[in-house]
Amino acid sequence: MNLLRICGSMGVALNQLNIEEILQTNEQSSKHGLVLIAEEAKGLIEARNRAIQSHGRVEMGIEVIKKIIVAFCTSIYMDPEDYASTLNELIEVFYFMKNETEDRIGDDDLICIMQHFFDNSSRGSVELLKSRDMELFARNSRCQNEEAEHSLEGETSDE
Amino acid sequence: MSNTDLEQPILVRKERLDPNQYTLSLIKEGSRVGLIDQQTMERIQVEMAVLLGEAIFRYTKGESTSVKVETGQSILLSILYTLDACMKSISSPEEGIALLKVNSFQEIYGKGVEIVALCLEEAKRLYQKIKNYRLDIPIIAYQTTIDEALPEFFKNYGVMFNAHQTMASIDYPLLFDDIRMQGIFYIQQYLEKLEMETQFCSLFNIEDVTKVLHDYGWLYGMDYKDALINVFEIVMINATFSVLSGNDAHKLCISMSQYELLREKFAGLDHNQCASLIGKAIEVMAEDLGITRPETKEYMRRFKIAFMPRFLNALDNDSLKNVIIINLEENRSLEIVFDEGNRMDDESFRIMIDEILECSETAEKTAKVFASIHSLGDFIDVLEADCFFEDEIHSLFDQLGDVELSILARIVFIEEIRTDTMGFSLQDVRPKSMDMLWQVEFAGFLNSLSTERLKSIENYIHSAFQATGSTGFLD
Repeated sequence: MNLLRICGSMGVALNQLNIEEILQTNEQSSKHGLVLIAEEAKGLIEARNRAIQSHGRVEMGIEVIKKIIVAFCTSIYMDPEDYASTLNELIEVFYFMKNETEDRIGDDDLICIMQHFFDNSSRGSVELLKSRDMELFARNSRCQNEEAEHSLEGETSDE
Repeated sequence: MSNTDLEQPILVRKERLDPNQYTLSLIKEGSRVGLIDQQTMERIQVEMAVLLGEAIFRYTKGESTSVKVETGQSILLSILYTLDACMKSISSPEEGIALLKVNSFQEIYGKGVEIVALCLEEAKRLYQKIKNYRLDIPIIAYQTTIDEALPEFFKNYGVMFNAHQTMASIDYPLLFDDIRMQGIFYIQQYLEKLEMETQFCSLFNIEDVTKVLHDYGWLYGMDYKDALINVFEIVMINATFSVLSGNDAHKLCISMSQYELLREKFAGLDHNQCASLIGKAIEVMAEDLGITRPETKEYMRRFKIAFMPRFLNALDNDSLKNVIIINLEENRSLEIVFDEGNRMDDESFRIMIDEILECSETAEKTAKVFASIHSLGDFIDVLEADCFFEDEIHSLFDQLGDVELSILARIVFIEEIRTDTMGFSLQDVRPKSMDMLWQVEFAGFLNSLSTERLKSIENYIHSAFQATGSTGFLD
């Protein structure tokens, strides 16, 4: 029995609540000319579900979707025409990076780092963000972790 | 349809409930029989998801709302285990379903956490008790389970995220362990039984317990300290037969003559009479030892039920010696032959052979061998050194006990034993053409022994095989 599927298959009522929660972010994003419609909100939830499934992760709420919206709707590179599709891609990058950074970076920090690269070196390109900037960041992060672990092991064996 | 039909309560079929996924199977069964409607099902699913989401958030210390699937699976199993702890405490499945309908999962989970935490505290208390009153016996599995495995469990166990796990290398086997259980409930039943077994064994003189264990190891040709044996069972068996031998209930030692009397006593009884006699002996023992705890008495009765088939099988095959541990004091001098770590160096061995060759009397030669030799390997080297004439070799074999003769038989008849281990018999052994002189003489010596003696030697051959699952050092 796939136990997680039981939890994952939330009722229709809950999905509707989630869509409404996402649409509430329009209050903030509309100040930047960015608005989602219900169909797009549903699409974001589906994109999240695909991302967590393909990256072998479990998540119950939609907090991350809302946080990504709030963080990225202020970006000068966010185009109202591609708003929903860019968010879909950013959601995919987020869960990809959770695994790449070996769960060592919290959600808020990771979104903050993604936002920084998106607004600066990636210049609004999700492709560059994922395949260059975040990839490099993840590699450096892993190296630092390995070095830290080695030095810790050294200290332990010295004792 | 009559009124009686209408009033018939809808009953959950208990056989459809899975003890290891009790809550989930209860929800499924409740839905099947119509006690849980679709709306309640949806509410339960949502509450389950919320519980898991909150647990993941706590697990990541508020840093993340997602985890890898394996971690999520484990956290969910922990939640389900804790929910089960509460739901199983409800007296009937129907009442459990009623509870699910009026209480949120959060509330049920909260009660489950309390139950699991309480059980953990109780397990820790029991562990301390066992640690303080443990048996001073050199059984490695017993001591390491107390000193290492159980502390490791308590160190790693967590009510919130791994309530369902039993992370411990517990080697010491209980007489009645329930391995279907998991998590802290498994550990609690393990500790309860370990405490009961330990307390029972502590009613006997610890030196007597160690002596019986030592003799048990000797009987089965193994080092009892390394063996994964249940001490309670061995003590219980000897205590029962000790009572039947007329000993005080606190005594474990059974002499050869007492054993022979027991053998005679049981030989004339049918299976029911045997069971009755052993049952009475256990009751007398409990009374004399001052055992009042009902659970200990029940455990002793369970022992009898499990033990009887083994006993009756041994009785029918005239191999009670493999069940009742006889005090080895009388045969102790013979043990020296089998001390493998005590071989002579080449020079000493050569000197001894020279001295034997200088002896003119057979008795003198034999005495020289048993005064100098302390290992089986050296003994066989002597047999192969051609320093004994054909008729003299028998005098060497004459000095050996049944266990030693069984070991020599396992060497000489290795092929026959390998071909038909349990069917092998010494009654009709024949010397083979390719055998060495001592082996031909050994076969002849066996032919001169009584049927009863041969049976006794055969029993040792078979029991050694049963104990090790192989022909031991001959492999």
